[in-house]
Amino acid sequence: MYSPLISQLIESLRILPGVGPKSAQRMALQLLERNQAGAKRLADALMLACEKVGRCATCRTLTEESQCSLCKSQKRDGSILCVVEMPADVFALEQSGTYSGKYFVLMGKLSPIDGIGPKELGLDLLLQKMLEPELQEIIVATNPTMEGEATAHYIAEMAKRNNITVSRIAHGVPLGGELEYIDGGTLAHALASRREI
Amino acid sequence: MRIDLQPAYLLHSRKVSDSRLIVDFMTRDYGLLSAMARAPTKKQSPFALFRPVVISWLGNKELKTLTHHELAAVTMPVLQGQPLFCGFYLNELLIRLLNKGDGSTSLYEAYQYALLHLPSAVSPEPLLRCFERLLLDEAGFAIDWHCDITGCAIEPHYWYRLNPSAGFELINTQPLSQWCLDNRPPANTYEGDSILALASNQYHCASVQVAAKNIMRYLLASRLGGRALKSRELFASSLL
Ligand SMILES: [Zn+2]
Repeated sequence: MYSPLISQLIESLRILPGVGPKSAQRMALQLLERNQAGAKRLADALMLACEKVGRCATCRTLTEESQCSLCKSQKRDGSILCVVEMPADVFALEQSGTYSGKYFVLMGKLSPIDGIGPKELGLDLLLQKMLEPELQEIIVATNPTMEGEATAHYIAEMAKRNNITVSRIAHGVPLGGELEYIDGGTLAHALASRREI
Repeated sequence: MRIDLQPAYLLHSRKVSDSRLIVDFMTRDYGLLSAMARAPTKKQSPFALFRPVVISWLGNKELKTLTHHELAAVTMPVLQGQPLFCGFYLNELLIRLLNKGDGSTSLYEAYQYALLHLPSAVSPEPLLRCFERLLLDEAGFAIDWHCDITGCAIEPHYWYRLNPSAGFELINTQPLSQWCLDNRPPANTYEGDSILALASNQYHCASVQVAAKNIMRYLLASRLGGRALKSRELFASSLL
């Protein structure tokens, strides 16, 4: 019922997370009826970003520069490296304001059935970093899923072989959580990683 | 068709949208199952690997609709380190070798047995070999472990070559030293007693473990066609 160009726009908008057919239609009509200038800006921004944004050569995060600003920064402590799954995790850790080392972004986690092994996560690049004398310590901040655990273990083994101190961020009972409502697996983890007080 | 509260293990999940996932389970009575599921809310248990759950589903097509998912009231040791890698290997084997609906209750039990014993096993190899043998049988790739391809019983001191589509082929009845100059068997050639040990899942002897590993690798490779198992990369001692 819509002309081919409009249908194509609606269909394309559906690749956005959380956008179903109804909201795609609403977005398309809104852009075309009321905000053509905004639509053009959006199109330009998308074009530019797709064309220019690639991976940081040092930490693999998304950036349009050859090396991202965190990797370039002189203020960051190059002796500590925090390994995360996604660029959004870097953002989250930066928000916490308590970490001043550098990052390494895997862009995923080990998942053999999906064809994601050590090479796909750039662990050969991480190994290169481990061989640099500056690096002293690695903090693995992968998610507390089984895939995240497997990834953490693989990286920890690599680090140990190269005599680098390695730790895993703690996870378990969330701040403000009540034990009664926490599932057994999470509690088991929390117990296993308890610390003296 | 509607199935209620079936014991199962999640093997793999894949997001298809913000609110939906395709989940693959090994179920106790219905073999390998694929279903469309809603992403769990914060109050529901997340989909997690290697944890016993009970699930309910609806549907007659290959892709079912998951209607219920909760943790089973059984505790399992948490897989960590190498045993965790072994768990991923088992999951990949099941997904790659079984069709939807394939897999018996004994295979489900063998999977559960492996998950239960991997964390405390001195070596994971016997557990993996037992599981691989059963899985190959159930995936329709059984070979005869007691007789060679002509129907004669496997003799402990004869030598056999493995033909993955037919079985074991007798190639020599003499001790290795008499027909092999360097005393090393040719590729894919095994002594009868190793084959018989595998037939009865007896893996204490180191030479049997080596032969069993080679036989299984060879059989699995021929069943998997070209594409190698990704989870094997986890076991490589070094990356480069
Ligand atoms: Zn960077």
